[in-house]
Amino acid sequence: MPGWEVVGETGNGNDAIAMATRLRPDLILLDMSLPGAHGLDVLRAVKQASLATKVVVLTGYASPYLMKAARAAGAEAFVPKDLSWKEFVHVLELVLAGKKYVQESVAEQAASGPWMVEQLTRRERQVLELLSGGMSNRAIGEALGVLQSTVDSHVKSIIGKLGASNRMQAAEVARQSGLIR
Amino acid sequence: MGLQPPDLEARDLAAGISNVADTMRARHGLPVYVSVTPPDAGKGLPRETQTSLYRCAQEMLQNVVKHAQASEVYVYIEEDDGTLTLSVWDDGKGFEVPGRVLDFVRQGHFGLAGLEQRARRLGGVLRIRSAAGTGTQVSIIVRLGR
Repeated sequence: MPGWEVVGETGNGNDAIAMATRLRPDLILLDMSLPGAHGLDVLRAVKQASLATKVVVLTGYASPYLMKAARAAGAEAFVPKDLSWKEFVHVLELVLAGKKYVQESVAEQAASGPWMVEQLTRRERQVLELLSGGMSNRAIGEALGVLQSTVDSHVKSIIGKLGASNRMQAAEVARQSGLIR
Repeated sequence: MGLQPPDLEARDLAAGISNVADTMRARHGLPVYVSVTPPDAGKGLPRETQTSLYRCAQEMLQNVVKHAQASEVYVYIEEDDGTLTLSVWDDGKGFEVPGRVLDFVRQGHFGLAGLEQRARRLGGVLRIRSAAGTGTQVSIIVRLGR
């Protein structure tokens, strides 16, 4: 794009923090799932180093939960990766002009969903960690000393709170939002 | 012992325990969640068994408040394959579980020794899982149809 210059690129979270601190770019496009430091940690570190640097978060899955976390950490925009090129450029222009951007469908979900107030319980986080590690509900039940049907209801609650549509998505949101390490 | 606890009059085990959970939440600011699987778990138990399990749950929750330094508690009432399990899990500091009941008393875990007795009187068993970082889960497991 005319007038825009790419001053740095990296595929690693820790490098991203170091580069952002050194280069102080006007804008960073940040993928949430990077090796090294977690996307949200990168976001926080960048904002701490330079509030003037604007951050546009890119994510493969537009979870309202994740969006909330990114906004709280100071991101100017939160966009799903399947956004069209035209829309994407528009978002960058908006952000560079000092505005914030959230895709409407995601914003609506976030505003109406119970996840804006409800947080996962400690127990649910335990279940989510095991689930994200690839364990079945039966195995999680055995690990925690409860029935599989009890785990089923925990998982149902987790999926609802994260605004995900299945356990795979719940695990993805958990990873992206730093709920689990 | 013949008296029904007020919470359990005209109620079943799960409803009674939910009431205790509400009280604990209000009194100690401790979130206590009650999970019942399937939703009618425990309803078919004789009245006296329900009362006894209710008192166990009270004791278990009091133990959590007194010792665990927990920030969250779950009460699980689960029925499966002819067995009813009442468990209380907390995310607190945990403790080293003694191997024998006698050691409960020696180490001052009188509440647990009492629970073990109650469980045995119901023809059931007491199970304790505890480890640093994962909290403590105390369960009473009884056969149904007694």
